[in-house]
Order: sequence, then structure tokens, then C-alpha cells
Amino acid sequence: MRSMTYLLSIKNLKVSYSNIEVLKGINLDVKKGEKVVIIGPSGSGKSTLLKAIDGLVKINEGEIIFDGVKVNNENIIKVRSEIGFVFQNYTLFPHFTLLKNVMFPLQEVKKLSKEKSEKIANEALESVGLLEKAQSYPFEVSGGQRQRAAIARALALNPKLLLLDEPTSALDPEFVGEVLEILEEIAKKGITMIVVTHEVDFAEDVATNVVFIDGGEIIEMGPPSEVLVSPRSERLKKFLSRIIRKRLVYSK
Amino acid sequence: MIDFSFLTSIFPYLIQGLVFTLELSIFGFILGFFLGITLAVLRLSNDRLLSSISSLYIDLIRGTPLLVQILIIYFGLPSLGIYFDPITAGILAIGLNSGAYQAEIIRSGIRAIPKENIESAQSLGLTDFKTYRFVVLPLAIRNVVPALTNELVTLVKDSSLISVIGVPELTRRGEYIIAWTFRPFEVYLLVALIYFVVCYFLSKLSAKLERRLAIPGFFSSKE
Repeated sequence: MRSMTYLLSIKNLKVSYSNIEVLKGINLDVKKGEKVVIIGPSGSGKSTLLKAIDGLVKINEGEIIFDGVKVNNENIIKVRSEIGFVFQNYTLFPHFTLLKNVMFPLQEVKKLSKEKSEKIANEALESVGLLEKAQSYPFEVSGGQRQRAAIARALALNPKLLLLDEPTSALDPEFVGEVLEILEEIAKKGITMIVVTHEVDFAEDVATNVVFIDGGEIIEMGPPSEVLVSPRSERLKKFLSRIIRKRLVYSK
Repeated sequence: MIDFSFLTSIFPYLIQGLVFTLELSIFGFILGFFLGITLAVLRLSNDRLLSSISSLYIDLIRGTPLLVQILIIYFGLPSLGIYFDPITAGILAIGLNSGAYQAEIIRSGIRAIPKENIESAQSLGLTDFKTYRFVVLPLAIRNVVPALTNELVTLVKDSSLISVIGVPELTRRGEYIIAWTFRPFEVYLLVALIYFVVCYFLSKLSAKLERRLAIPGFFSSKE
């Protein structure tokens, strides 16, 4: 019953790669419309958590309930079609134009006609300011434009949940802003998002909940005004001070 | 010395043999290509049994001579009541053999694809079949065009082994001419030259194909 009130409910999730336990019992509930930002050091299990939600890694223990249904091997294809996923890099298929990248899942997954798919795809590209690049290939545009197109593709499918795995980490600094701006815009539209990022400013502005993961466990969780402003654990204090110090160095 | 008028006179007869050579190698290559894709996908699958069967096949084929495989198919299988005409046996032998080599080539092509590209296809809700058909294989094959055309060139040359089961391909026809004329040096030299021209042409074609299939912008902005 409890899970019905949440769009996503993760219970005691454990994931191991060979013999190393990467997630050690994660519990996380996400309500519809919430923006969850996950922060944490490299190798802490953030990306694995996102992949586990989308069934891209094998779960050793625990369960994931999405939209009231327990995710399993039988319904994973359907679940995936309702969850958008933007990776750090290589989300787009390099042998398709941007337009085809967006159209392709509409035709093959949503089974829409070519005309309808093309119309939706063009609108999606327009909404991220890439209509004039529709016929370009991913490697012919900038990294920032690639990420914007990847976001457009995810949104065109009208997902119930959008997962973003460090969407700006692989970008040159000059492109980070344009991608974050798009994400802020989307966030305002009410879509449920889980974003793994090191952009603390973005977390402050957009997040309804910030989750700090370290060593495969959730160490702290709460609204940004608590977690980011007055962290309780030593680990989070250290982590934040490192990130903020880095930011100060950059801004000089 | 080399008698050019003699060479000109046997040339049309040899070219008719080249048609068989190309038929054997091209159809063998195509058979091997689809077999290779299947074996590569099975080998990479999570199903241990399927993966081991694929590995075993690849090891067996690569660990035995093509000539012996040809002899087994044409002279051995009839004892089990399975008969093939020489050309079918030849295509089958080349295809079954090349499949093992192409499987390894395609497998390396699949492994070279960024993991995120594959995960991204899965994350869209594509089935495994569609993920392979639209994303994995098109990218994998682009990665290995030079290796695959190299394999085709090898097959054109190796198809000369099919002469042992009586297919009148290029090498076999050369042998016929030698039996009538006792001029092995000139004839074999001409046969070699014809193989060379074909293989040279195929390598050039490969470079063209590679450029055509190249992912736009990939090499200029490779990160």
C-alpha cells in the first residue's frame, strides 16, 4: 500500500560487481514531481543506483517498485520505455542523425507512424534549440548540443521518470551552462527527475531532495536547505568542502 | 620464354574459372557473415551453454585445416547419407569455416562499442533483438570493415582449395591447361596474376566502403 503513493520506491537494494558490493542496502522513495539530486564521491555507487533503477545491472537483493509495480525481468522492457535515461556520454547513437536519434525510439518503441514521430522529434529538438542541427550527426555537433539532443530524445518519449547520470561531467566547461539551463527548464515543468551531478548550485536551485551517497550507502538525505547548508556527517562536510573549494579555485 | 599469344588464348578459359572462384568466395563469405554474427552474439550472451557451444565451434573450425574440412563435407558426409554437389559443398565448407573467423572479428567489433551506447539502446525499452539489429551490429560492423574485407580477400585465395573436389574454378582450370600443354610456369603465373588483380581490387573497394560507412564527424571530434 505504501508504495502506491510513490512513483519510485527502492527497498534494501544491494548490487555487487563480481565480489565487490557496490550498493549496500539502499532505501529511497521518490514522489511524483520530485527532483532528487544524488551527490557523492566517484565510485560511491551513484551511477550503479541509476542503472539498477533501469534494470541495466543485476540486482542481488531488495526490490524496486516503479509506478506501483515491482520491476522484474518480465516487465523491464515496459518499465524502461517509461523511464528516460541520459548518460554522461554516448547516449546518442553515432550512426543516426540527431533527428533520427529522437525519432527512432518513437517508431520502434512507441510504435508511432513515421510522420507522427518526425513531428514529435522536430518539436523536441526545437524545445532544446537544436532544430537547425536536426540533420547533423552526434559527432558533428558540440558536446553540449549532444547532451541537449539526448535530453530531447528522452523527453520526446514522455517519460514518467527522467534519470540523468552526470549529464555535464564529460563536457568542456563552456558547455555546462547550456545543459543545466535546459534541465532547470524541464524541472519547472513538473517531471520527476533523479540527477547524479557534482553541480551543487544546480542541486540548490532545482532539488526537492538531495541524497548523499558514499561507499554504497545513503549517508544523508533531505531538502537542499538542510543537506547542503548544514550537513551533519563528517563525510558530507568533507565532500562539500572539497567541491566548494574547487569551485572557488575555478571562479578565480 | 613467356609466350603472350599462348597466354591470351587461355585467358578466356581461366576467366570462366574466375566466375566459379568468385561465386564460391562471395557466397561463402555471405554464409560466413550471418553465421559469424550468430556465433558472435551467442558467444557474448549470458547463457553459459550457448556461449560454450559457440566457443567450441569456433575453436574446432579454427583448429583444423580448411582442406580437411572440405574433404569431410564432400567425401565424408556421403557415408552419413548426406550428399552435396561440388559447388554447394565448396560454398558450405568456405562459409562454415569463415563463420568462425568472422565471429571473432565481429565479436571484437562489438566489444569496441562504448558500453553506454548499448545501455542507452536498452534504456529506451528496445528488445535485445532490436538493440542488436539497430545499434550493436551496425556499429560493430563499422568498426571491423577492414578486417571483414580482409577476410573476403583471404577467401578468394583459399577458394583455390576447392579445386580438390573438382569445381572448375581458377586454379583447377589452370591445372587442366597444364595437363594439356605442360607449361606450368606461364599458366600458374597467369593464374596468380588474376588472383592478385581481384584481391587488389577488393582491397581498394574496402577502403571506399570504410569511408562510406564511417560515422560522420567521428574522427574529427573523437574524444
